[in-house]
Amino acid sequence: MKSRPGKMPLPLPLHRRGFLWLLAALTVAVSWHLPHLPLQVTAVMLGLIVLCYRRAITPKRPPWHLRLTLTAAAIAMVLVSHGTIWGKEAGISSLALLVFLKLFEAKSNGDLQVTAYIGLFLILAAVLYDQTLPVFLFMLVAMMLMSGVMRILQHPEMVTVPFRSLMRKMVVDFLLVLPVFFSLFLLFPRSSQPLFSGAFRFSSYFQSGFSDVIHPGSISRLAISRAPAFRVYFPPGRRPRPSDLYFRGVVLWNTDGRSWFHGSNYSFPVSEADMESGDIEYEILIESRASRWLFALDRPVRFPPWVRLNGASTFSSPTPISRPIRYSVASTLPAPPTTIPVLPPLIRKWSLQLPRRLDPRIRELGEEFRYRSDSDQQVIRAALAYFQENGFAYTLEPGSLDPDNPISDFLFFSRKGFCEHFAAAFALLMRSAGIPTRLVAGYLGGEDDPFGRFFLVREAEAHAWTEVWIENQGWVRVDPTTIVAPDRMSNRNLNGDSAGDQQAGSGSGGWRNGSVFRFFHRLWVKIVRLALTIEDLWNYWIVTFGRVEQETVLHRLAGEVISRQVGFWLLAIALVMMIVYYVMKRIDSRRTGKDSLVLLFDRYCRKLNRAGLAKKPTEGPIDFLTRSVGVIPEKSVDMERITRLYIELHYGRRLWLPRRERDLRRMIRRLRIKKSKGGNYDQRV
Amino acid sequence: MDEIRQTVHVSPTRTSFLYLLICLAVWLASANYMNNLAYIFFFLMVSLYAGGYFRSRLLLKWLTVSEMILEQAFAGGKTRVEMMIQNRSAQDLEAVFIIPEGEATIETCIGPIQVPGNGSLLHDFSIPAPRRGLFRLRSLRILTQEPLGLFKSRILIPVDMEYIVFPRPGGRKSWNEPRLNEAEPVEGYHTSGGEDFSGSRAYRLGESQRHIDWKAYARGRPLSVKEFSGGGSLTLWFDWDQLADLDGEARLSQLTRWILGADRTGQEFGLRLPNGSIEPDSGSLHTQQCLRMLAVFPGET
Repeated sequence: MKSRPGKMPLPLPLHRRGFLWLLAALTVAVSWHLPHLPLQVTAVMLGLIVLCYRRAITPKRPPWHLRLTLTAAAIAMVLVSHGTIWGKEAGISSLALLVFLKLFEAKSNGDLQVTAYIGLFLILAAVLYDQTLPVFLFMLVAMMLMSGVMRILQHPEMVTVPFRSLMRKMVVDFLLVLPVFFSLFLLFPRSSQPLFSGAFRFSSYFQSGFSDVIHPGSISRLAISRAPAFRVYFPPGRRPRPSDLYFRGVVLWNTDGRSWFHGSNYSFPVSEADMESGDIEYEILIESRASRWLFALDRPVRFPPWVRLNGASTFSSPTPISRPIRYSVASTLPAPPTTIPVLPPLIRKWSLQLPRRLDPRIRELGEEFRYRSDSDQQVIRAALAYFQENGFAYTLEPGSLDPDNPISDFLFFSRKGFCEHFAAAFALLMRSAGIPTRLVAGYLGGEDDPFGRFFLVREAEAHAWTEVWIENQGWVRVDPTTIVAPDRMSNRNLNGDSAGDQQAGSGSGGWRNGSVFRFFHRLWVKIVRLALTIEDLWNYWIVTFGRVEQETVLHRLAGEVISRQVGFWLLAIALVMMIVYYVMKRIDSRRTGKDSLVLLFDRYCRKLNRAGLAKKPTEGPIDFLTRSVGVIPEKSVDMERITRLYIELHYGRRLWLPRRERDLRRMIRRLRIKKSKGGNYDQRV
Repeated sequence: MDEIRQTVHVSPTRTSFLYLLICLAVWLASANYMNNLAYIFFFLMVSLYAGGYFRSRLLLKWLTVSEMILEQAFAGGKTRVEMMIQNRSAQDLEAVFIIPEGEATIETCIGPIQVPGNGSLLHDFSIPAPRRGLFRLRSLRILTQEPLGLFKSRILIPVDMEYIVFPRPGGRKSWNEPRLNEAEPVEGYHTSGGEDFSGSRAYRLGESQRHIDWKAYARGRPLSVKEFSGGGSLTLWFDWDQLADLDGEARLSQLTRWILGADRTGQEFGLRLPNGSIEPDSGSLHTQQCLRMLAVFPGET
């Protein structure tokens, strides 16, 4: 029987080192999901890891009944924990168990390889949930380990490559493919819509942001969150004044006395402002969040084309914001006067709605303001003066309010509240006085990043205020909170920090004033800001890099000469080929002169080859010399000296001397052999 | 340097199709969820695959084999092959497999062999030699699945060397029987290899080292051999026709065994086969000639 070409002696026996490495790599890959797996699944998985470890020590394949029992137990565990085997969470649980089961029963190196490939899905699952920088780093490490496993499985078991050189090779594997990787990232066409509408949704494990319902406490809960909500990229030197940094999100019309709702019935795709170019055009990069609302400075006048307009100059994303997105928007500061002289009756009805069980004292107070005033403006001023004069205080911890009538409790008894209390109370008073009012939820203020790239708005900047309808002016922003706490507007940063500090060390002593503490505090603040900047760069260039950005970059690179589609592909192919060529060259030129003796001898052989005397591949130097001397006797002395010295240096046990190598080089350089006239020397022999 | 650059053939391995399938799944997922990090993961996987291809192309490109020696063997044994493997690239090769290709039924895969980057390795291995005869090792196929097992790269190194496999020594007959030829006059033959020292002559390549005059060599003289003669030794004739009761291959085995025995005791012997004969002599060169004649003896192979 003839051996087939390319037949390898696989399967080799189970590779123990590869097994252990694979176990480690899978454990790393699964670690990202650990906090989100059900406890039972985690326990079973840890058990399986221990079993796998023992398997590596005593390499005996478990009997079939044990394997069957374990598989059944794993399926049962997933069913018990999730109620199903189908679905996103259940899928990840099954995957986590499956890889270790597969590893446990592996019987050949091929099995190990397949298990490593399946393990790649664990990384994919983590990546689908979150697109943050830590996930990326996790992905890199896990992928590097997996490729390391693939590499080790190719090595024979007895070959122990030193750990450091193995690590170096793993990193080199990655560095070498970077050009290909970057060209793919730039050039590979992306989809702009989902391929399958029925697929599972992966929403981030970590989500924040308020929904479209506001009730007492919903914003103050956010006020201690340092998480970034979104970043704003203003044109250079055009950052608005602090009093203009109101980012509108949701407009809320409907209240039951406790909570305020947007309600889907209240949407109307009519914009109140003219679609003119605004005063300021800027870009916002918003983090993934639970709700779909998008934010813009008061008052947005031009919207990105893909958003859904919800009336009242608000807009939202058509799909859930499950990943950071970027959009640009234009606003006019302050809000432009209306072009609609009279409020439409339906909207008037909405903006005057009062809860059915309204505390009569609120209605009386509102009516009293109306009774004492001549105009709407005077009513507003009177209400604001009421807040100013009656000892109202702005605080994050308003204490517990009467759950049935929190607003009247706030207005008449506690008088301590957060922005949503002030805004809701003010809105109820205005509506009682007959002034159309709506509640707006959004963010106020933020902070510049240390490098001036963007303006960061955190969740802690969440804010609520009101807008009242004034004839011939339209909707005018009134923020009752600023009457009580002017700081809230002018320097939110200070406020935010103090909110954090209150949390961190209420009642702590004077040690916080020490210079060491201050040094570390400042250092910490710097580190946090740097982290935010890195995160921003990551989101800006990687996460939100979509089809549009891709085309922009390519367009900038290619210029306008070539048409888009054709140019795109031509450029893509050309670039990829160039990069491939470059990589190949790079790798090839890594042949260094470490074994320079061999290269020298190659040179000698080349010289003889030019004269028509080719060294046969299986010929040793002495055989070659014998043959050469027979053919070119006139150079026998030179050739013999060269060969002897080469043999002495290359095979001899004597100390290798650079000087001797130089001699050899010189001798080879000086060797002159006339080209044979009668054709090939070999033929003459 | 062109003569040492190998042409590398690269083909994907079976498991790499599974890898590609997973790549496809990752691409579908990233396109469906428009998830850029998943895209990055996909690109990473694809570029590892592409990089693996190019690295496979280059891995064996600078691998050469030289100074190859094929040793003699007896049928049923193994032919030992010794060679120098040189890796002129900077890449370490951790697992190289060698498949010898030739006329005989060689179905072996040697390896895995480790060849350091910019280094050489003296490697020896054995190939089975089931039958006697003169064989030709046409080429060596060198394979590797490094670095990631996604591609299989292979080169073909032409060798074109002959190696001989002698018949398997066997048979129970004693060579006492050839003494039946005593009828011929013993004195007529060249008789050397006896007990008494009869002088010395120059050493001939291939002769047994047993009779070398080492003392003379130490005194600075050229290598010489002490010659002995004595009436005690008989010239043996190993004759094909003597073994008429055996069939062809068994006769060859028996003759081989006798020759080896005679060589061990240093006796002179001659070999007579239907297609020719070798005059009696002793020494390893002579033994080689005789064994070679037996190996290539036309038979039912």
